[in-house]
Amino acid sequence: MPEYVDAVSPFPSLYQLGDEITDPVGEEFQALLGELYDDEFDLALWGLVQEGEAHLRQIVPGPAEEAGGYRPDQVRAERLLRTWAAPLQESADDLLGRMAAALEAEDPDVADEHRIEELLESVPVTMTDVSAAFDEFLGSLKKKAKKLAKRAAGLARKGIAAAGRLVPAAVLLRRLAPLVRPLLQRVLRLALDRLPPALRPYASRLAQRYLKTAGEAPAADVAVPTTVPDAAALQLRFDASLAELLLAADEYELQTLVAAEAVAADDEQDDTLALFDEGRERFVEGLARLEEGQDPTRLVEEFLPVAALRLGVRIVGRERVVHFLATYLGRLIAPYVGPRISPALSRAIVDAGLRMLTLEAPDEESGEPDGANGLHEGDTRRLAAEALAALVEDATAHVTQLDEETLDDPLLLEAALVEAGRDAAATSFPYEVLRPDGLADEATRPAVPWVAMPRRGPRRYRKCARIFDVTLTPQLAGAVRVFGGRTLDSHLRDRFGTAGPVRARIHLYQAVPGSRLDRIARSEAGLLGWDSGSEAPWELLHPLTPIAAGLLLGDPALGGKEVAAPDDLTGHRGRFPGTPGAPLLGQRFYAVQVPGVVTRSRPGRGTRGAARRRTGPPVTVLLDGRTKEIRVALHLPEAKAQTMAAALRRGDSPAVTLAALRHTLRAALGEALSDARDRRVRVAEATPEASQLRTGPEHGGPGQGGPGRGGTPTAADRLTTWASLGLSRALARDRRAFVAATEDPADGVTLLVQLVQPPGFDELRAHVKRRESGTTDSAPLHAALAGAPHDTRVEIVPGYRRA
Amino acid sequence: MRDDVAALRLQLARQVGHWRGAVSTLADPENFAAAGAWRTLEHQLGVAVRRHLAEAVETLRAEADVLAAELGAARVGADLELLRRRITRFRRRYTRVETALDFYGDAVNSRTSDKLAAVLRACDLLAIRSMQAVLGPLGRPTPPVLTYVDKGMGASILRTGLRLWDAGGLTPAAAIKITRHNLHRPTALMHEAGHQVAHTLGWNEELASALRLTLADDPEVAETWAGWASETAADTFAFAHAGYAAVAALHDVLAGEPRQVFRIRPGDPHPVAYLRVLLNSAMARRFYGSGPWDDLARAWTLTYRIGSAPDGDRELLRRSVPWLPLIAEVCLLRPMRAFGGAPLAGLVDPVRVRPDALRQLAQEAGPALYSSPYWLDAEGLRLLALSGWRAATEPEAAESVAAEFEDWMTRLGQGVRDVVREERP
Repeated sequence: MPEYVDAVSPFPSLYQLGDEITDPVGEEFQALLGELYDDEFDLALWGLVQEGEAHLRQIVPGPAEEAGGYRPDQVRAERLLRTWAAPLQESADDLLGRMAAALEAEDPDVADEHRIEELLESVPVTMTDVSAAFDEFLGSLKKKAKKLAKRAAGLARKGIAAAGRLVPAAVLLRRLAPLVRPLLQRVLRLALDRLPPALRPYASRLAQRYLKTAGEAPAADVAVPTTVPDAAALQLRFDASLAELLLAADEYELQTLVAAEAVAADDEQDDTLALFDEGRERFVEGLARLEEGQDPTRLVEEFLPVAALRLGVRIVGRERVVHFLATYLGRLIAPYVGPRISPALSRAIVDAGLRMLTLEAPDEESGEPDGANGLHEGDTRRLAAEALAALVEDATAHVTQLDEETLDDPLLLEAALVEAGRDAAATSFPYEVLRPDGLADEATRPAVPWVAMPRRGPRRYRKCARIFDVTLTPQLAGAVRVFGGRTLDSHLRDRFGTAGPVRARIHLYQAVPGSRLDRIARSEAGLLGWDSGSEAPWELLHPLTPIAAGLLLGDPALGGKEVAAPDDLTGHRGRFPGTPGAPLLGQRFYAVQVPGVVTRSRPGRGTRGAARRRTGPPVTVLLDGRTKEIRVALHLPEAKAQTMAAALRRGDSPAVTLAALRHTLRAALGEALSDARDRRVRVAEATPEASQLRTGPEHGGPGQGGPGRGGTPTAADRLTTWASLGLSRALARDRRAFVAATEDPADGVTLLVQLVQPPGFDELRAHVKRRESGTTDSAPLHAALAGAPHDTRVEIVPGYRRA
Repeated sequence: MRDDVAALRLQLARQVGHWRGAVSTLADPENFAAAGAWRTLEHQLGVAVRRHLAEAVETLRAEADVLAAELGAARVGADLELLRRRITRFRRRYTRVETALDFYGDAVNSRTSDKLAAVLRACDLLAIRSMQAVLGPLGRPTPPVLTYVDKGMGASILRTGLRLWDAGGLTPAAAIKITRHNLHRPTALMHEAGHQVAHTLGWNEELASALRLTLADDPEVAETWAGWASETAADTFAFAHAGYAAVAALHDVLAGEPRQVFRIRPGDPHPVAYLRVLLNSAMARRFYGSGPWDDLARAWTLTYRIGSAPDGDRELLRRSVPWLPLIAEVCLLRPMRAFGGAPLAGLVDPVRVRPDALRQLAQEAGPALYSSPYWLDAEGLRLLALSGWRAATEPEAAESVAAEFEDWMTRLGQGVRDVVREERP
């Protein structure tokens, strides 16, 4: 019997069902987490991180002036950020207070979820007028608070009193305010790069008990760490606190929880990134001082633990491994050290393409530290030492991922090191340098060095010294997937306004500790001709998977090694596509530059305060067990929506429009249904209260499946047919509805199709769930899916909506 | 008292010091336009202009350093005399660079408000698009454009690729002046962009010889029109992109005193106003059949009766009129080497901006035409033609047409670069 049952349980209703332990409160807790989680909240948090960082850059300009190990006065920086965020904290307190007051004015016995929604919706978010990010955060916070209050009312109605009592919704909202403070504190630390890389997702042992975990996020473990903490982890932690708030047993527990969060947030200071920057700087400077023939092992030995620490791995206790690694790497890099060799090596790196890379960079953004990518004289001399530092970092990263057996076997360890050293060298040094020293594999393709960037300030990403000139045809671009389930082709149409074959330049980037997509984008904006002040510039970066690298560059190896989830931004919890956030360590990205073409603005952008574009995958599906409905949402981007509306206004047959819609639907559904981890298909459980959404990671890469796999093509075909029938009737009945939706300023339109009680619903749901659990599916679905839904409803709405 | 050489040296040393100091005041772009105004430029344009100016200043700084070195090396009176002459030359160069900086600074500074900045960015974009339509298919790069507002009647262009005042390099962007009165129907943008295109492709010279050849039966008319080829080319380009809107706007700019309308100035590349308006109407008639341009032409000849033209020029005007349909034909439909063997209408079809085509566009796109980023982006040029057409044919709705125009141009410009976010505390 599991351990937690032995513990003194506060839950009287814990009971046993066969061999399965069912714990209503635990279930409730998990369901709550599922419900509270909100993609947009992540984006709002990232927005705060970025604005906070921008604010700081303006007040404390610094990194631009000093090369390498710049470290601002952290205490001062944090104080400045707190002052900056103070109005936000006040507004949040005020908002939650007003929401609570609105509930208190109502008779608690009468208020049902519907009424609560109404009451709370009427409480306006007072805009701060300070920053767009503040307003966005407050909007998201309101949404979350509303969910929590409704949930509390629902529980009360249902009679689930977690432990014999229930906190009234209004009290709950008042208690929520003090929890916002630790959340904001974490956000500020994230902006300062001072948040621990692995934030514990749950605060209390209570939550651990609910979730039957040891404080780890369920299924959140990935082999490769992210480069910076993820805003999703912050949200998860916040949500867990809210859930605990709701389910707390008594006033004492409530107070303990709030206090514990405040203390925990205070304690979470982590300076490993700064230590890493400093450690690397010391290493680079130390190398520069070495004479020929001097042994760099001591320097490596000092640098290694720092490099490993940032990866979240402590190898301090493993002296043997550290020593072994240091000796090996020391021997490896020794021939490249010394005042005579080092400059030649630097020169070789410059000649391998760095000159091209940096001379094109405009240096006018003097106020923008990360825009300063120009190569200056002293900088050139550091290149060799930096390349050696990169080699040590990469080899260390490789070793920290080895299993115990390998680490314990000297020969195996050395073999692994040889491989790690060779791989790392191939990405840091030009091929010409490698060959005579035996670092180069005979089979190694001509190596192009990756250079640490930006050239001024702390290095926050690497860039490939070679820029690839390619011709992108619509067919090729259509086959390459970018984030959000879209294709490179649609990206080129959207942002460059080009459909035909186009000459383009491809720039490659790699994530290192401290990398964030927004940082890369901001730093590279000048060179790529992007508007550095624009919103969401990170959307111009795409995942460089082996497939993308193969198609675009003719070399799949440039796509890097397969990481746990090569197509995802993170390996865990469902993510909004294209957030600025945390890539996986070593993950590669690329950007497309089309020389001479004016980059188009992102559709849907207007003046400040106008709705920002919110889009995810073009097709989403919800299998709702509560109502036995399948809901399909198909988003048409602005360009497509407008051309279709024009055709309808022109009086063209809607058949053309329908054919295009059908094609899009079929392709997307086929792909979505064949990949179980795909977040485009969600299942809402049949238990009315426990409407936990089963979500997998956002799918951004090429579909692994597709037609011809299992029973899914049939399922996709059936769904497409049903949805198309609904669309066909809707268009025949009233084409004005479509046309009217396109007249709204929102980005594109979404077609919402509701298939009520379709035949084979249970089978389809079971199929999707089997996919999730990894069970292969052989039972054909087509027999179960014969017939037609009880009813099909179609709604056409402006903007982006999920099913 | 010092000796002569020392006295001379002291005066020169002071001047060298002065000019070296002066150069450093040129180095900061914010001495010429406010930082906020610089930020309103589209990113690449801003980079190109500032880089160009910085290079000019750098060249100047290097020259100043040479002066200082020469001062140090000067030993005898002859050396000092040489240096004195060099300083004088340096002053001229300084003035030229300063003039260039002043010019771009003023142009950038004309973006006085977020709204005006957005409208001007939209103008930049439309000018670029109009050039791309011709240069793109011919595989020629399209230069950046910096539009600015200024007083006066007519627009103007400082072409890119010219070696101007600063001698530091070629002008980095085509600078187009739009007059304040025409800000709400800037079809003149197309005219000025036409100059850039014609210059880049060598169309002016080709058109001149085509006109000379076609009108050979009347050598005086032929020679006169050949001399007007560059402005005629620009008018043609504007007509192809904007249709009747360009004709009406041109009419309104030229409708001055009769003596101005009839004045032929020797060497002036502009066709005499009287004929220029009639040629533009002839282009509209050639492509669109009959329409409001007929009334415009009739009213023009009624207002400016040819009989009142100056004696010396009247005959030439009279003899030119019958040639106008043929000239329109040559301009728009004659295949040209400049266009890769195609006529201009083959690259920019004026029929796309025929009034009924514009009406159809408005009908198909609906209200979204003025607000959807897609339409603004895809049909910005035709939208300009449509707004211009409405301004020309619905004078009673002038105010609402202007407001509508400003609204969509602002949106378009904001799309090019969102209003700089208020990040500063």
